Amino acid sequence: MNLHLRTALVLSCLFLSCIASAQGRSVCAGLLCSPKGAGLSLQVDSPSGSEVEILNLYADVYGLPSERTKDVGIVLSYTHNYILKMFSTPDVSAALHSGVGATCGYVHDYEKGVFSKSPARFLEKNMGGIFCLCINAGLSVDFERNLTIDLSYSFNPGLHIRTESSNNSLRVSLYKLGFYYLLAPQLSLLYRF
Amino acid sequence: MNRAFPYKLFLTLLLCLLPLSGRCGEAGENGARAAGLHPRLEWGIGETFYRYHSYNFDSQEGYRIRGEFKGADFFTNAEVYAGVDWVMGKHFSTSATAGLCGIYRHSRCIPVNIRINYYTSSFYNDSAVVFLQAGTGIKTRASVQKNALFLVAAGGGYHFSLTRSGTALDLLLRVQGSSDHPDLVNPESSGTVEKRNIRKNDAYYCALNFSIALSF
Repeated sequence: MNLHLRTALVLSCLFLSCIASAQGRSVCAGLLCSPKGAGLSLQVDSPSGSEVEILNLYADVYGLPSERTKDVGIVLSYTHNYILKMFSTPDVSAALHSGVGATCGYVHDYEKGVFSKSPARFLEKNMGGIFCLCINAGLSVDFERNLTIDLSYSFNPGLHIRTESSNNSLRVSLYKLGFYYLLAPQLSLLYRF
Repeated sequence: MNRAFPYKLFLTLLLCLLPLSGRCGEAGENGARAAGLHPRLEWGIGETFYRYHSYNFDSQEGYRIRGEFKGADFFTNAEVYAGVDWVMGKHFSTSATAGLCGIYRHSRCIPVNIRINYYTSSFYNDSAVVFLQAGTGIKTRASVQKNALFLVAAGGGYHFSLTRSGTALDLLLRVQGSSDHPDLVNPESSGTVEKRNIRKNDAYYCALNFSIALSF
């Protein structure tokens, strides 16, 4: 089994263990959609309702829509969020939240050349592991019919560790996409159980 | 058809729809709104499952090269749209959207679509929805033939009404047909066949698309 599949398996097991540990607490689960990729999202409220833990497991598609690579990465992020402000109307209630946590995964990092002509536009660097801090902020809107829509942005400063394809040596660099993805909104459609 | 045609069509449609926004909030039965204009976001994925491509061009040495492919061919694409829903009555609405979508390998376009929706209940209630869609688009990558693409689709899904003011979530499935004029690889040299040598180059794709839409 290659490193890519092993990483996906480990991150999926971590995600499932978090779901199992949330028994007895208020849980929302659903789909995560973003320009970064798509996957699953889980939100677990604290008993007091003033804190929320957000866990995202998604396929990272950097370079795939622009046909620069055929590789799909995998990312797991966890943040512990605090409710900063709540709003409510007769139909909906909304909460502004922010928090920190960690992100790990196995992905491609940013490379120049998206507007270049072939073959300079293809991603040259190997995929690698990322280990990042995750700073998250967003707005969560609860509708009457057990549906929650969460719009958030996350900032992931951290490291990208990969092997060089030329000599197989290990290379550690700053994970640049962690900064650029600050501009990518994350929209989660969640069902409240 | 020139490349500006889709933009002009979209602007014309927007200008036609704007005066109608005055009907927003018109009361219907039981105090519910019967008409209105709602911004819409839609995104999803599509799986191309059938491709037909027929081409015919002059080689550099003057002889004719013909080719044809028809059959199952799978390729996954993504799409994202923004636009407006105009609720025209209890059962009908019209959507005008523009965005970015993949058609096939190396073929992405900026489409402008018009969709007629029929709701079994109404836009402001939970309802099954069926629709017909047609559109046109321009390719994002510079290609040899700059003709506009055409897209037609039919589908259905379920419309979840989230608030009384018209916020709604749609889960939609559709079958889409699209036309294209893909670049032809020159068998005699690297690169593509020049436009002046192409006599015929038509491709048609069928795809199954799943999308999620939010109306506000």
